[in-house]
Amino acid sequence: MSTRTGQWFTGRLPSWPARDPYLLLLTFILPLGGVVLVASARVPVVLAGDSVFERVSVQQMVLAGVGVALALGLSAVDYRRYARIAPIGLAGVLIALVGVLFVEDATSLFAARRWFRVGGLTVQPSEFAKVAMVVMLAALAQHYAGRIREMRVSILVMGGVVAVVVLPIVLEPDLGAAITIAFVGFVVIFAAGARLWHLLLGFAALVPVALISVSQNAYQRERLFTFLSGDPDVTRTGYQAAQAQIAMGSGGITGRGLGLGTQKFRLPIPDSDAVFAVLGEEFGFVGTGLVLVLFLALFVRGIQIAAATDDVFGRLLAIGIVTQLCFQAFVNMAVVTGLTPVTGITLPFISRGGSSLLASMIMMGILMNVARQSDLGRRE
Amino acid sequence: MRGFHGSQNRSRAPKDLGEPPDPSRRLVVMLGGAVAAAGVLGWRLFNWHVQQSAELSARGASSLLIRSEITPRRGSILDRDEAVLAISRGAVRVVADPLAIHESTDPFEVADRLSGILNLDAAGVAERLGNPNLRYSEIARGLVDEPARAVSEAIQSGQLPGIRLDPDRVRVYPNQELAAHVLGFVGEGTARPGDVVGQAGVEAWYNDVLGGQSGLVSSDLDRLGRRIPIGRYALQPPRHGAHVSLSIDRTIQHIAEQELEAAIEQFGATAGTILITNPRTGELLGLANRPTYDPGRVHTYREFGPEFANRACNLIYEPGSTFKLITMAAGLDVGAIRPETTHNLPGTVDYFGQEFKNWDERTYPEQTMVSVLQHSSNTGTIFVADTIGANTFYEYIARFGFGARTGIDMAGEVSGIVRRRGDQGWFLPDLASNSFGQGISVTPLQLATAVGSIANDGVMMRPHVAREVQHADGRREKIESEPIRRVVSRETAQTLIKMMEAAESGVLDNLARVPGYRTAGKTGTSEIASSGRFLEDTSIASYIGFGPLELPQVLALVIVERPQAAFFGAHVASPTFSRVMSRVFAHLRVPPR
Repeated sequence: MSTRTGQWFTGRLPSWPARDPYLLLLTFILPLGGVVLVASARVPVVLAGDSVFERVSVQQMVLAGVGVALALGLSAVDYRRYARIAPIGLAGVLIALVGVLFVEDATSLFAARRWFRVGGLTVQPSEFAKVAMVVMLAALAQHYAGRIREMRVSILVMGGVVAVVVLPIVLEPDLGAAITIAFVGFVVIFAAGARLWHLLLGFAALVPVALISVSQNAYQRERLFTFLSGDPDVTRTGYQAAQAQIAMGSGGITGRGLGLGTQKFRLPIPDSDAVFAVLGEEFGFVGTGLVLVLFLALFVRGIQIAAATDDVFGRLLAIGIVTQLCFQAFVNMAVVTGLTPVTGITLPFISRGGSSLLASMIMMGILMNVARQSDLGRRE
Repeated sequence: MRGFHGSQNRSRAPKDLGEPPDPSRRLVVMLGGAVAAAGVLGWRLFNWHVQQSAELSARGASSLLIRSEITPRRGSILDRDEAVLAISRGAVRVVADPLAIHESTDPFEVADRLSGILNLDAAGVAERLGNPNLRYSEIARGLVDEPARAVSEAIQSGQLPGIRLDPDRVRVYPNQELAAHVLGFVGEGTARPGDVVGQAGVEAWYNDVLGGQSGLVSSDLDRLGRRIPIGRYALQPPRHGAHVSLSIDRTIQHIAEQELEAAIEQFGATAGTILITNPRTGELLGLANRPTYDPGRVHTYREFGPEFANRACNLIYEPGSTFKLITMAAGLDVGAIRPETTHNLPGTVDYFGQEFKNWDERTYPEQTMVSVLQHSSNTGTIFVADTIGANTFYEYIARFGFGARTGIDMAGEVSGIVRRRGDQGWFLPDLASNSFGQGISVTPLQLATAVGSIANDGVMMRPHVAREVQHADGRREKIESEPIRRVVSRETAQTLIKMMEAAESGVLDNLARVPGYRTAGKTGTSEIASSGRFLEDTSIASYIGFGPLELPQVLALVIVERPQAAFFGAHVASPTFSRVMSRVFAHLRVPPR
């Protein structure tokens, strides 16, 4: 992989601080919103007798600070360096992804094995797998730049990377995350210029995997049928959707005010999957609309950066990163608003969860570096 | 925007796979997808936040707002010395939250464990846990002691998710059968399930006083049924029930129970009643019935049998010769007779076509009215009734309160059956039979109240069993004794008492005599009518009397039904009266003569 032009860029511009005002704003405002909403969603725990500075809220605060620092730091690192270490990174997360399947006392929820416990923290390898996969795909697209129209490259090589990342996640089982990651992979391959019918073929290969997963996991079936039945009251997942809907409606246009929502006492995981519903109740249409616009803005900015980057690696990195962040956000919001079946997808930056937040901030850091080396960055 | 296939591609000759599409076109597709997705989401958010806001927030407001009643504490029933006769005790109620159970575990497993602890049918319990739309389902109530502790331990050890214990109360009658018919019992009301409602006796009559008023809590609940601290919450505290203290003296009550039991056993009787009152106030001091029941274990009785009847005021009987006192009082009061009035007492007499006999069928010529009582002569009593006439006779019957409820404060009182002249089914000979207590049905309480008026100088007092209501706020409300009416003149009453005393002193071997005290009374032996015929060889033996005559303060009526070992009131009821009065006088420290 040639990096001659990259070195030229690095030499010409001061590498820090990051300059893109949109990305900078998002880098600060999204995790900050997360800190506030997680603290609000933890109100039931505090009222049940825990300290005001209870563990999860404080952890979120600290990780947000670490994350912002990490993003700003990474924005100074030339993204081209990642192309070389991409295979190593991918191998690392694959080992972790397989390893988590064999952890006996991995923190389990719905009998799924998704987390490592490290000290007092839990680490979710699939969050970092998202980063590694995007970087790997971008690197491969750059490497096979002229041959992307070949099925061998688009499906066997790049699609194969997607598959090895997704399969262990399916086995955890975490079908929601697997589908999200697979989708992002396909978007990157698509953006790289692969033929559409190759993509369709690859997609078709993944359908049986999803079907087998659904047939093997009772809770996935339950969620799917609840969604298809349209009846919000028959099961606990229907209950979750119904409570989220009430939260949204109760919020109205401007919301009840920070901390004043009561639905978080009824929503199953108010600080994580359902944090968007807490936002909806406490800040109303204004709050949820703003978050929607912020993620849309992130996506649009990412596309702009990609369009202004002439190197394939950077271009696909930008696309992969914003697709990863925004598609996951979209799925989370769609779940909360009952547009898709319930999956355990968190809202990036905002939901409780260190792995997710750090992985998201790493992606923001990489994106900011791509931005500053793009035409957009140079114009400033 | 620059081209996608840059300079690197030139080094290797690409196969002819067609030109790659303009990459910016694919970016436009992605942008379009993103905007479309955001549009759908935005529309949905607008729909929920704005268009459906009112409906959804109303649904949220009502969905888990629980209004639950706080059961008030039911007041106690106390005796006249404030010893407890009935009290409500803290217990627990086993309540399930079916939704929480469905969220956390398998309802059948919980049903299995719970039914094992409580000895219930597992299928029945499973049915109550089965509906995930419910937040509240009652499994068992009124648990105390061991089963309550077992459930509590199982809950604490996490074996019964979604099951909780709510406070409940049970009614306890610490003296078991003592005064069962006075107290009555409680059961579940029909108006609302779970209500404790008095079903008989004082429990029923004073149900509203004892029961108090429910409080109400309404609060928002979270998904596990706990109150949301920042949600809506309103509490209207309950008004606890008042204590009712009775005129019943538990020692006198105990005497009544014991002596009735003894008499029934001695004479092989089937049933009986002892009623002890204070004729000056109308207060009931003791009231025992046999058969009887344990009000704390009513739920174990398979049917509502005769043991539940308060024979003193819920059932009627023919009073027999004790009723001669009433006829005599009427005769004295209108001046038709005087104690020394003499009359032939034929063994049999034909009265308007019907033949009446003395019990011994003997003729006593030229006897005074005292002798009429002494020999308990039917023909002599017919003379008195005939002398004053039917109109006057039935007027006095009414004044003495027969045919109407006394107004006693216990549930289920009946009025008896009195047919007067002019009523359908009344014939002239009925005046004769009514005069000595046949063909007329009264309650024991009516007789005791009527005879009580003679003991009280002619003024009949309203019988009552409650003396005081102690409200939950500490206020004490006395229930005053009140006269119903003057029935006969003071002179009549005193004359009749003297006649009664004289008549009894003339009886050889009077078993009703109370050693050391002056008492007056009258025996009664009524035949039992069944299907229009009198049963042979069986009777209702009774004795009613009061004392001490210096200032009568205790009246006792002893009724023994169907004694096998003897027949007459003088043999069956009199000895019991004597023992009851002796013991009651001793307990009340009434000075002997």
